[in-house]
Amino acid sequence: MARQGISSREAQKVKNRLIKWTYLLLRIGFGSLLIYASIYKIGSPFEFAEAVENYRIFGTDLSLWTAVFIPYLEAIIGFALLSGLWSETVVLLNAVLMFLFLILVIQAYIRGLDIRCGCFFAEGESRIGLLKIFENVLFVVLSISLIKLNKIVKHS
Amino acid sequence: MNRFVQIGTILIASFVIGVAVNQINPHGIPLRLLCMSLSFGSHQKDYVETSVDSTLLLFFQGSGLFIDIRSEQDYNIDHIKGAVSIPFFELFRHPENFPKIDSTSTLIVYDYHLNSNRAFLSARFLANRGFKNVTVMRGGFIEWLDKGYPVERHKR
Amino acid sequence: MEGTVITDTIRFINTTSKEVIISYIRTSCGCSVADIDKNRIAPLDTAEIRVTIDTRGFRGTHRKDVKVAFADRNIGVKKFVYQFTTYRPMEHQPKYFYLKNIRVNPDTTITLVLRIINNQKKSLKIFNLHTNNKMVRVLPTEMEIKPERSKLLTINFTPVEKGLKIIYIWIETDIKTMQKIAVPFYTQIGE
Repeated sequence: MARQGISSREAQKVKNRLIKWTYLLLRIGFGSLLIYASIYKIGSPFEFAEAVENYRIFGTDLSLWTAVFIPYLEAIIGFALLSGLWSETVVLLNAVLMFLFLILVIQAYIRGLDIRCGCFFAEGESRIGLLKIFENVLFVVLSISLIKLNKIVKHS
Repeated sequence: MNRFVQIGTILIASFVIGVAVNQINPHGIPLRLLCMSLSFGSHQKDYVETSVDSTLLLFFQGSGLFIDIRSEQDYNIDHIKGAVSIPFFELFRHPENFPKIDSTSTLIVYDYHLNSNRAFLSARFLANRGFKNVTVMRGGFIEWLDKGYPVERHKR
Repeated sequence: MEGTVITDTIRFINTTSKEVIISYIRTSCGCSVADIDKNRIAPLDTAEIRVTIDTRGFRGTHRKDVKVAFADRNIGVKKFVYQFTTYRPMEHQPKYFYLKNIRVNPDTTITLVLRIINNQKKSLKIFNLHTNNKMVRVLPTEMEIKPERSKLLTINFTPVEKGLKIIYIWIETDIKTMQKIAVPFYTQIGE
């Protein structure tokens, strides 16, 4: 009986450790991703505004405002995720951002817009295609997992 | 701190930092331009739109100053004969560098693309600065080039 | 022709004594692809960027660029511009007419020539050639051009009205995507 008790406690410890590490990994992963994504956009806001305009949802005017706002939102959320500050709020904002990006990408794909994603501005930056959509779906799923893990970690 | 207050703080901070950094950044989107894009203004346009063919008439008349708002790099490759290069963001960042010409002069603004919101924004900006005859060439430089109209090429 | 895939190779030679790193390569649209064989170039070594541009869906003149950014700020960003014009099924030369320093004179006729080029592998039918101003007349008013051949149209211009005008020479064809074409005819006529 005692042996069974120990092993279930041990199993629980392993599970908690796994949750904690997965949570940390996702937080650092998303934090780094957002900061990385924001760097070029902060350095070249006009180019980013043009990329936003290419989604043909916003005109030049709103695209300019988006270019002034979004990169800094990404950076702040990124830093907050890395530091653990206001984690409950920040993981929620992160998920909302990922979801918004997914919607933008899907609508661009449906409308057949032949544009760059504008997500990372990195070498080999991909066009809007099924792979890009899959990538964004994955991010949404992971960001929702992060919210759930955050709840578990905060309550334990 | 309450969740909504945290969200509000992050959003407002992103916005304020974004506007401030862009104002400082020499390649940033200046506040002047952001404010202009906010002015929904009267329904009466302060500028006129012309087709490429009609603009060629203006070109032949020799009346008017052609303003190329594309990047300096694009301008240096080729541009409408006699046009002056004032890249879009330069116009807003350093309006004091705009050529000193009479406010009754005809200005013809063109961009690269077919439908350029940048050209419309630039035209509105120039009209706000007191220029009474501002024209936007619909169709852009690419249509001018395609029709074989006079261009000046960069001397290598 | 539209649909042709343009390929090119941009070769970089590192003439410095240090390794040169290419930080990113960006193309202006999804229609062009730039692949590099290596992004760290040792001194005196070369790197090649293979550029491919798919012209499918493009009509007329277009420009696409490839930007290559280097980690060394002294080298910065290099931009390579590719300009291409896809052949249309039908073209005309010149692209427009411009007559200036002409005096009003109803007794004079200036004769010009417009070449119509059929780039297709089948015959081109042209009909209902007309203009929107009686100063300009076109002959003949219809014709058929054999595959990959061209024919000349005679344009007769009589300067009757003063001023700077655009007159259009309208050409109707049996090409679905170019059923009606307008050739601009600019005139600057003085007293």
